Amino acid sequence: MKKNKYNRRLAAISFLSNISLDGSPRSFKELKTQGECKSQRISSGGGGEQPPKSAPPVVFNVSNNSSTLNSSNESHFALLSKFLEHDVSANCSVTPFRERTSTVGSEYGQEKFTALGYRKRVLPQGLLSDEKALGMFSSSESMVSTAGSKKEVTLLKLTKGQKLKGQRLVMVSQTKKIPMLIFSVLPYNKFRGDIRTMSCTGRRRNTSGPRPLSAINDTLDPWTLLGIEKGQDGQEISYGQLLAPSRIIRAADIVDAPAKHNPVARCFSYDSATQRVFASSPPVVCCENKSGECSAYEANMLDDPELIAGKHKTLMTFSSYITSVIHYVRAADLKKELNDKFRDKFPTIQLTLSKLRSLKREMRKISNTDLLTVAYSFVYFEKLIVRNYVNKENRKLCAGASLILAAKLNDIKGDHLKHLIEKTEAVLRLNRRELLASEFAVLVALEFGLHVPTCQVLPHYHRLLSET
Amino acid sequence: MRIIDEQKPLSRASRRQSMSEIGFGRMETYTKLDKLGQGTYATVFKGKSRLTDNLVALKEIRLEHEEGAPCTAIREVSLLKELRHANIVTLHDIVHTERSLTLVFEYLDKDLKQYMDDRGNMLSMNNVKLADFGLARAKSVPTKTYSNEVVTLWYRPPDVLLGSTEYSTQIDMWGVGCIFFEMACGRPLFPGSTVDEELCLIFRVLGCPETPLPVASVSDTLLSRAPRLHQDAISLLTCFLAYEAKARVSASDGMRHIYFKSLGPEVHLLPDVASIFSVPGIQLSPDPSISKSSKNRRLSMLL
Repeated sequence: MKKNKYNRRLAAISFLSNISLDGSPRSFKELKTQGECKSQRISSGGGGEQPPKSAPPVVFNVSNNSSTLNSSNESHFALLSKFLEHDVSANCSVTPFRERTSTVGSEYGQEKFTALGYRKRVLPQGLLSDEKALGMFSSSESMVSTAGSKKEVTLLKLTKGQKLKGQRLVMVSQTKKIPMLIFSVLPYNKFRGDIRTMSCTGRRRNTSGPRPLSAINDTLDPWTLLGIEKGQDGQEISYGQLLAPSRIIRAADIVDAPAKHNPVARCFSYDSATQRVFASSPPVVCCENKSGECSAYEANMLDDPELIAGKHKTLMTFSSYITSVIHYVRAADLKKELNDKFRDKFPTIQLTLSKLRSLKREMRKISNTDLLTVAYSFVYFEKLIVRNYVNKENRKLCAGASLILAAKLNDIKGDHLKHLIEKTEAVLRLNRRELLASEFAVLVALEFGLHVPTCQVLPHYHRLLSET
Repeated sequence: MRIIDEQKPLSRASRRQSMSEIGFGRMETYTKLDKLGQGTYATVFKGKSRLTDNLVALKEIRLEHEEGAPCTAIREVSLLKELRHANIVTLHDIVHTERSLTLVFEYLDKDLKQYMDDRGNMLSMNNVKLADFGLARAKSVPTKTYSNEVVTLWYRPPDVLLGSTEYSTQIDMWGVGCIFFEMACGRPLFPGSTVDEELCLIFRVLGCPETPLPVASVSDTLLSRAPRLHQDAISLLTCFLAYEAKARVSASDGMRHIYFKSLGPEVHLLPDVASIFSVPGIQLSPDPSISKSSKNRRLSMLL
C-alpha cells in the first residue's frame, strides 16, 4: 500500500517536473520545439529513455523527405516504404495538437481552422498542403499507434482520455526539430461530405441534457428545429400538397426524383438569420431518404430488438443445438459498441441507439397504461428520425409531440389528455408552449399521416406487452 | 422509372409553385359567404373560390388551446388525407395561419335529410358524400376497449346499447341498415330518445335477443312499415339488422347482394374516385314512385 502510494507520488513528481514552461519536455532538451508552436506537446519516449532499437522504425530524414512528401505522384506504398527504410535510431515525436481555447473541443470545423493557422505558421514551405496527402496519412494510423505503443508509454498516459480520433498530430525530426508531418485521424464516414456542412454550424450544446426549463426556450422554434417552413406572422401556408394519400405521395416522390425537389433547400433560403439552426437539420441526404424510407419504414428497423449484445459472446454450434455464452462486459463498453453498430447502419441519423431507447423508455413511462398509444407514438417518433427531422435540440420535443399526437388519435381526451400533457412536460422536461407548438410542426413533418398501417404498430405493441 | 420521369412534364415542386402563383392555397383566394355553423373548436363558413368560382366549405379551427390542436381536427385531417373517393367529401387544402387552421372542403349543399326531402324535384347527378370525420376512427389494432357511448342513438346497434365495448366495423353496418330504411320511407326506423326506448323499439321489430323472431316475421314487419321496399330490399335490410355483430353482413358482401344486381356488374369494377353515374345506364330519376330508377337513386347513396 505504502509503496504504491510512494510510487505514485514519484510518478506524479517526475511527470510534473518533466513539464517545461516553454512547452517542450525537459527530458528532451535536444528536441526543442519551435517557439511559435503554442500547442501542447508530448514527445515520444518519455522518461528520458532512448527509443529502443526494436521500436518500429518511424523515421524522418529532413534532407530528402520534404521533397518526397511534396510529390503527390508517389503512391502511398512507395512513400511509406521510404519512411521505413531509414535509420532506426531516429526519433519521432507525436504531438497531439489541440487548441486549448476552443471550448467546442473536437468539432471538426474548429480544428480545421486551427490546423490551417498552424500549418501556415509552422509549414511555410507547404508540406502536405493538399488533401490527398492528408487522406493518405490518415490511412497510416496503424503506423503511428505502433510507434506509440512500444516506447511512448508516457504519451499514452498523458493522453489518457484523449483519443487520436479527430486530432491533429505533428511529427518532428530528431535533430532539427522540423515538423515533418501533420496529419489527422478522422473517423471513417461514408458521408464525409456532410462533415463540411456540419462544420459551419455552431452546436447548441446547452440545450441537451438537463437544462433549466425556462432557459433558451424563447429562441426555440419547433418549426425551425424541424427544418420545416412555417408561415411567419400573419403569413399563411398551405399544406394542400401533403393531402395526397400516402401511397400516391410515394409514387409521386419517385417520379419527381430527378427534379431534386428539396424541402430542406427551401428552409435554407427561408431565413438567413436562423440558418445556423437550419443547417443543423440534416443536409441533402434527408430528402433522398424521404421518398423511399418512409414507405419502407418497419417497426424494428431502427430499434432492432436483436441489437442487445455485442461481440462479447461466444457462439457454440453443436450437432443438435446452438448455444451462446455471453461474457461479462462493462455496460459502457456494450453501449458504445451498440451505438457504433447503429451509427454504421444509419450514418445520417443524429441520435444514438442508446438515446433512442432511453427516450422510448421515457415515453413509455409517461403513458404506461395505454400501450397502444405508446406503440403509435414510437412509430411517429421513429418515422421522424428516419426522415431525419430529429436532432439533438429537438429530440425531446419530437418524442413528446409524437406521444401527444398518438394519444389524440387514440381517443384520449379530457382529463386524461390533460394529465398526459402534464406528465410529458415533467418526464421529458419540456415546457408546454414549446411542446404544443411542436405538436403541429410534427404533424406537418409526418405529412398528417397519423393513420399508419397496423403492421407498423403491432411489433411495437407486442414488444411493449412482452416487456411488461 | 426514369423514363416515366422524363415524360412527366410537371414536377411536384413546380406544380406546387405554379399553383401558389395563381393563388391556390391562400386564404384570400376564398370569399367567406355565410356562417354555416359553430362548434367548440371550429367555425364553418360557406365560401367561394375566387379562382374557380366553386363553392367551398371553410372549417376554421382555432389552434390555441390548452391542449394544443383539437383532436377532432387531427383525426379528420389524417383520415381524410388517406381517403379519395367519389362518395367522400374532398379535403382540398389546409391553410395554416398563426393562430388557426382552415380546412378547405368541397361544398355540399344539403345534408342527407334535405337531399331526401328534395328528391321530388331533383334531377342532378349529385353523389351522396360522407362528411365530418372528426369523430371517426380508423380500424386498428383490436386491443383497445372503446366507449359504448358511440354512434347517434337511432343508429346504435343493440350489442353496443347493451354495453358491449368490443366492436369493429360491424358497428356501422347496423346503422347502414337503419339509414337504408329511412331513405326508403322518409322516417327513421328506431327513433328512440333513451337507450331503453331504443332497445324497446328494436325488440318490437326483431324480438328479444334471446328469442329472436323468425326472419319471415321480421320481414313482414319491415315490409308493412316500408311498402316501397320489395322483397330483395327487405332481405338486404334483415342482413344488416342482425343482433349478433358477427352475423351482420359486411359492406363488401352487402354490395354483392341480389338487391344491387340490377345495377349491372360494372359497378363493382368502378374505381374509387369515379362516380356511380359514370356507369352507363345509371342515372337518377325524378319519379318518386316505386320504379327501377328511383331504386337506383337510393342505391347510389349506399355505395
